Amino acid sequence: MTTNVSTTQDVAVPGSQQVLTFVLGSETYGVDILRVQEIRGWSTVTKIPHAPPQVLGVLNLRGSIVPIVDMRMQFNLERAEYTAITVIIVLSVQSRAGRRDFGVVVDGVSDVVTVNEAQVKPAPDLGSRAATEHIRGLMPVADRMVVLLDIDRLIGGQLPGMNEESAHAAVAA
Amino acid sequence: MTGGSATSPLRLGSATIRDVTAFQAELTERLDAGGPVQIDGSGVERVDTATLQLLAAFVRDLRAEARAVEWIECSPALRRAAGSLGLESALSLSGQ
Amino acid sequence: MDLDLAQFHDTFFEESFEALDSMEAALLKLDVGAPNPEGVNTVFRVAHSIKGGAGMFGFKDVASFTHTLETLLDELRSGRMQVTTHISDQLLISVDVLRSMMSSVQRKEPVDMQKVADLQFDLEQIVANKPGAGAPSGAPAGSSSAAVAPGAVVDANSAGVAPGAAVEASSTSAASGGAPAGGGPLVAGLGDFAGGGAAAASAPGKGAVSVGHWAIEFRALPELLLRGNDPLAIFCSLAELGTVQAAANLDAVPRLRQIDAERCYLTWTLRLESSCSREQVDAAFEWAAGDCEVSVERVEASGAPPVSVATSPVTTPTPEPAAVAAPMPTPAPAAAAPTAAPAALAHGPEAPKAAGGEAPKGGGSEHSSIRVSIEKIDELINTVGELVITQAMLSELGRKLEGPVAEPFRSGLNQLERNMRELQESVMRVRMLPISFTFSRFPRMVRDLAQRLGKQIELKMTGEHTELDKTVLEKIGDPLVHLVRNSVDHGIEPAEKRIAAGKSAVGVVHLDACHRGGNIAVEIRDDGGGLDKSRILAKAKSRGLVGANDVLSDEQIHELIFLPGFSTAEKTTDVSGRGVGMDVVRRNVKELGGKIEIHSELGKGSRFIITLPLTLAIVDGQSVSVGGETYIVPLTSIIESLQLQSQMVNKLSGRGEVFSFRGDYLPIVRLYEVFGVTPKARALHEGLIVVAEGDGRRVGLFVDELLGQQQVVIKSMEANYGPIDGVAGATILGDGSVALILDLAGLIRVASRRVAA
Repeated sequence: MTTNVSTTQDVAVPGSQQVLTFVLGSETYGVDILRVQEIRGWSTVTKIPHAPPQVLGVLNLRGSIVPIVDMRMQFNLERAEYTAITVIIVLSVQSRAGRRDFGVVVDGVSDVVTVNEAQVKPAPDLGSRAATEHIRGLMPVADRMVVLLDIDRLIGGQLPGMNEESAHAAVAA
Repeated sequence: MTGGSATSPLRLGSATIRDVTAFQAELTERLDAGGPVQIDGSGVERVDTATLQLLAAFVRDLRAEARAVEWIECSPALRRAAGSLGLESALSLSGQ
Repeated sequence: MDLDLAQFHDTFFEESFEALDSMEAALLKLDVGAPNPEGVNTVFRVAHSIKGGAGMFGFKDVASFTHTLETLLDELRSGRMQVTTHISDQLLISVDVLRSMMSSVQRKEPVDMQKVADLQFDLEQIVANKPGAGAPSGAPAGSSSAAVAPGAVVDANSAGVAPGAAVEASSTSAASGGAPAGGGPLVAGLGDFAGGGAAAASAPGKGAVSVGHWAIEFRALPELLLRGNDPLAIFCSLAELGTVQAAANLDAVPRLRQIDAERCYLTWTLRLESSCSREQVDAAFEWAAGDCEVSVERVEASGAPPVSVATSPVTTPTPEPAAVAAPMPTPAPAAAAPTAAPAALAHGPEAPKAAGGEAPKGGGSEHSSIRVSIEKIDELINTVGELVITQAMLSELGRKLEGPVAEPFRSGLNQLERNMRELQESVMRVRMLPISFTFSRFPRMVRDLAQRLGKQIELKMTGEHTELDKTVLEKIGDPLVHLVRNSVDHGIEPAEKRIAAGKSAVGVVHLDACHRGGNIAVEIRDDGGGLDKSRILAKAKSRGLVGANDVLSDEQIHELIFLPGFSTAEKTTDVSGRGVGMDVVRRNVKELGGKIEIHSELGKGSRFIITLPLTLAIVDGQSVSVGGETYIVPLTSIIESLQLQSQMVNKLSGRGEVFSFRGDYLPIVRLYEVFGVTPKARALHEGLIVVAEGDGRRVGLFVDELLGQQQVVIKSMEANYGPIDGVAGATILGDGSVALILDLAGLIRVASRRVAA
C-alpha cells in the first residue's frame, strides 16, 4: 500500500510549516512535510554489504534504488518486529551531492500538524552536541511532545559519500 | 514605449511590430498635443519596418503642420535601420 | 515580449563546433595539387553558416573573422584562386583560431583579438595579392574592437538576418578610407550588429572599380509584415551581396492616425552594386515571394570591365539567410533560426529542430535527423527498462496460470516478450553513436604531433562506423588519445632510425574498431620500435617493483607499464609526459567495465587492444542465489561454472581456500560471507562454484545455485546511496525486488582483504 503525499505547500501561516508526525515506540517525531515523498507499507529489502547496521538495505521505489533506514536502530531504541502495519516513510535529503531519497522504517504514521515557531522549545542538553544535532526542537501537540527532526543532519552521515560533518559527528557521538 | 510629456522629449524605446498598436497611439497623442517635438532615440536597440513606418509618418505629419522636429540623439541601431530602409531623410535623420 | 536569444546559444555553439570539425576534416583531406571542389565547398559553407549564426547573435568578432575567411574561400571555390599549401595551412590555423574564439565567447571570456587580427590580415593579404586582383588592399582589418567584449547578445529584430555586411561605411573602420561620405554605402545591420570591418580592405564604391548594379523596385503587399517578413531583413541580406542604396517612397502611407500599423505601405527603389548573379538577388526575396512585388534589372557599369571585387561576399544559392525568417504570424525567428545548418547536412528550410543538447545523427550526410536532448532519451530508456521488468513479471505470473485461457495467454506473453526485446534493442540503439565521433580528432592531432616531432607518420583509421553507447563514447576519448600519443611519441622511430632498420621512412599508426562478441574492441597498432621488455624488466627491478630474481612472462612484463609513474622513455617530450598515463588509461578503461591488452614485439611494433562493453546501461547477467538473495554476475566476467568435489580443495596459508582450475590454484570466495547472508549451502560440494574474472585475477564464487541468465538494466546505487565495493549497481527483478549486480574487480579486492585480515 502506498500513499502519495502532496509536497506542495498548502496554505501556511507565515512563520510556520507543516510536519508529518510518526510514532516509534512511545515517542512521537515530526519531519518537514515538504520532504516526504511517499508513505508505503513494509516490504522486504535487499541487503547491502558493508552498510551500517541501521541501513537495512535497499528497495525499488518506482524505478529508483532507495536505501532504507531503521529508525529504531538509529535512535538506539529497542528493536521491534516489522508487522503488517509497519510503515516506511520515503524522504528526500539535501546533501552536497544533491538530492537523495531514502526511506525510514517507523511504527506508524500520525497526523500532519502545523508548527508554530513560537511554540518550539530547544532540544534538551544531553551533554553531547552530536547527540542532539539532528533535533530541531520539541513542540507540544495536544498531550504529547513531538521531537522535530532535521532530516539532513539525521541521515547525512549514514549514507556513503554524504555530508562529512555529519559523519564525523556520528563517530564522535 | 515612449515617454515624456508634451513639452519634454519623446523618448523612444525598442519596439517591433508587436508593439505597434501602442506605439501608434503614443505617436498620435503626441501629434495631437501640438508644438515642436524633440526625439530622443538613444534607447532604441530593436526596431523594424513597421515601427519605422509609423515614425516616418509621424515626422511627415509633423512637418505638414509646419512643426519643428529635432533629434536630440539617435542610437546606432536606429540609424542603421533607417539607413537600410532608405528612411533617413523621411525621419529627418540625415546629416546627423 | 522580448525575444531572448540566449536560449539558442547552446545550440549555436554546439553546431558551430561540429561544423568546425567537419571543416577541419575537409581541409585535411584536401589534396593541394588537385583539390576536390566538393571539399572546398564544404569548407565554404561551414564558414558561411557560422558567420550567419554569429552575426545573428551579435558575436561581432566571430562574424567579422568568419567573413574574411568566407571571402577567401569563395575565391577558392570559384576557381579564381588556387589552393596552395600555405593557404591550406592558414585555413587550418583559422579553424583553431575560430575554435578558440568561440570557446572564449561561449565562456564569456575576452577573446585574444591580436591573434585574430593578425590572422585576419594574413587572410586578406592572400586574397588581395591573388593574381589579377585589381583593388589594392587596405590596412589590417582588425577593426573589431581590440580585446575584451565577448559578443554581447542583442535581441534580433524580427527576422534577424546575419549582417556580415559587405562594407562598413562608418568611421569605425580606418581602413575603408575613401568610402564616400554621407549618403554612401549603407551598413546593413540590425540592432547592435556591426558588420565588422571584415571587408574593409577594399570598399567597393570607392570609385576605383565599377561593377555595375542591380536596379530593384520593391513593393510590399498588405500581408507582408503579418506573415513575418520584414523588408529590413531582406535588404540586409541583399547587403551581403554588395553595396545597397535604398530610397523609400512614402506616397502610399496614410496619415498617422489612419495607418493600419501591421501593413506596409512603403515602396522602395534599391540599387545593389554587385557582380552577383540574378539567382542570388532573387534568393534574398524568396521568403517574401507572394507578399511583395519585385522587379530586378541589371545595369552594367558603363565601359569598365566587370571586375569581381575581392571582398564582396557572396551568399550561397541555398536560401540560408532567408531560412532564418520563418513564415510565422509573429516575426520572431523560429527556433530553427540559430541552426544555420552545418555544412555536412543538406538541410533546406526544413527547419523545426527541437532545442537542446545532443544529436544521435545518422552517419551519412544525406540522412535527415533531428536533435533530441539527452534527458529525453534517458527517460525513454528508463521507461523501456520499466516495461521490460513489468513484462518479466507478467511472464512469471503467466507461468502459474491455469485454465482454458492460460495457454493462449502465455503465448500472448511470449509474443510480448519478443516485442519487448526488439523495443529495448531499438531504444538502446538510439543512444549508440559511431566511434568516428571520437576518431575524428586524430588526423589533426597526429599531423600536428608528427610535425612537431619531426617524424613522418601516416594515420590509418578503420571501423569508424562501429557504434557504441554515447556514455561509453564520451569516456573513451582520453585513453585513446593517450595511447595514440604514445605511439607517435615513443612508438614510431625517427625516419633515419627506421630506414636504418630496413623499414619505410613513414611510420604507420592504425586505429581500428570492431564489434567482438557483444563488446567493442578498439585497437591502436603501430609499426614502431615495440616495447623493450628487457628495459622494462630492468627498470621494474631497479625500482623494486619486481624481485631481482623473478622470472616474468612476456605478458607480465608488458603489464608492468601500467604501474603508476612507470616510464622507460629515454627522454620525455612535452607530448606524452613522464609516464603518468598508462595507469590512468587502464583505470579509465576498467571503470567503463572494459580491459586493455598489450601485444608487442621489439623492433616490429605494438598493439594495444581496448575491449569495452557496448553500453553501460544494460548488462547480460547470470543470476545466482545465495542465502535467498539474488545476485547478478555479469556474463563477461564468467569463465565457467562447476561443482566441486571436496578433494579438489586445498587450504593454503595466507591464501585461504583454493581449488585447482586449468593448472592454476584459484581462491574461493564465499559470497555469503562477503554479503553477510545465511546460505543454504555451506559445504562446498553442496553449492556451485562460478569461476569468474576481475582485474586480471580469477576466483571461484561459491553460491547456492544458479538461476537464469538475462539481460538486466543497470540502476545506479550511487544516486541515493553511494558506491559499494564489489557492487557495480542494482537491477529490478520481475517480482519488483532489487538484486545487486556484482563488480568482480571490487569483489576480489574485498575478498582478498578478508583473507589477509
